Formats: sequence, C-alpha cells, structure tokens
Amino acid sequence: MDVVEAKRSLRTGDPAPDFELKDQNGQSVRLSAFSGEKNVVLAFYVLAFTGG
Amino acid sequence: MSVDAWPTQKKFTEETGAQFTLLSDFSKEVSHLYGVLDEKAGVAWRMTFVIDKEGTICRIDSGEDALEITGVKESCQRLTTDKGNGA
Repeated sequence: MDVVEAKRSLRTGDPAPDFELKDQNGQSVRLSAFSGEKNVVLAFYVLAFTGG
Repeated sequence: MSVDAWPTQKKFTEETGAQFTLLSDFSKEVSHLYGVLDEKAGVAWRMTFVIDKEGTICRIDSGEDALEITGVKESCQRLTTDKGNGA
C-alpha cells in the first residue's frame, strides 16, 4: 500500500473511526471522548527517535 | 501516535519536551483502521488527520505535506477557537 492508496481509504468528510489507546503515561485515551468537546489533530509518525 | 510502545513514547516525550499527548498504537490496529499502516515495514506512514468536534475528518495530510503544519493550523482555526488536542 502506498501513501496515495492509503489516503484513499479515508476521505475528508468521513467519520473518524473511534479507538482507544494508551498515552505516554499509560493512560487510556478514547477518541470519542473528545466528541462535542474538542477538535483533534491526529498525527501518525513512523517511529520515535527516527526524525520521522 | 506511532506503533511504539507507550514507555518509548514517554521517553520520547521527555527527550523532546513535547507538550501534547503521544499515543501508542503498539498493536497497529488503529494505524490499520486509518489506512496508514505499511504492512511490510510494520510502521505507520506519516499522516495527519484533523478531526472536528463532531468526529468528522476535515483534513488529511500525508508524507512530506504532513510535516508542513500551516494547512493543519488554518484548518483548526477555521473549526473553532477551541484548542485542538494533538496526538
């Protein structure tokens, strides 16, 4: 899968799929918890300590 | 967010002084869900999603574009004056 193809799977206007993940302090964070409260910037990066 | 384990994110946060939430997608489920997972390399592509309060995606930047934050910033400003929560 290349980036262009990846970009096609979710589009602007689509509902953001909900998830729950641990933050850097081991606390669970659920995306839908921000619903109606805050806008969210979700930034995926390759790996920590790689400049990516 | 990245596929690093959360203790790695903690160290990364400490070393970079990042002032935002860093999420660990260790199982790679969310990277897969968002279509950003490089299955072969087992890591997520560099991609940024701006999500409004209603949970709707209003901007997607990928690759080198995702390093340039001007568009994301403008997109956030357009949404509301509320502070976004980076992850």
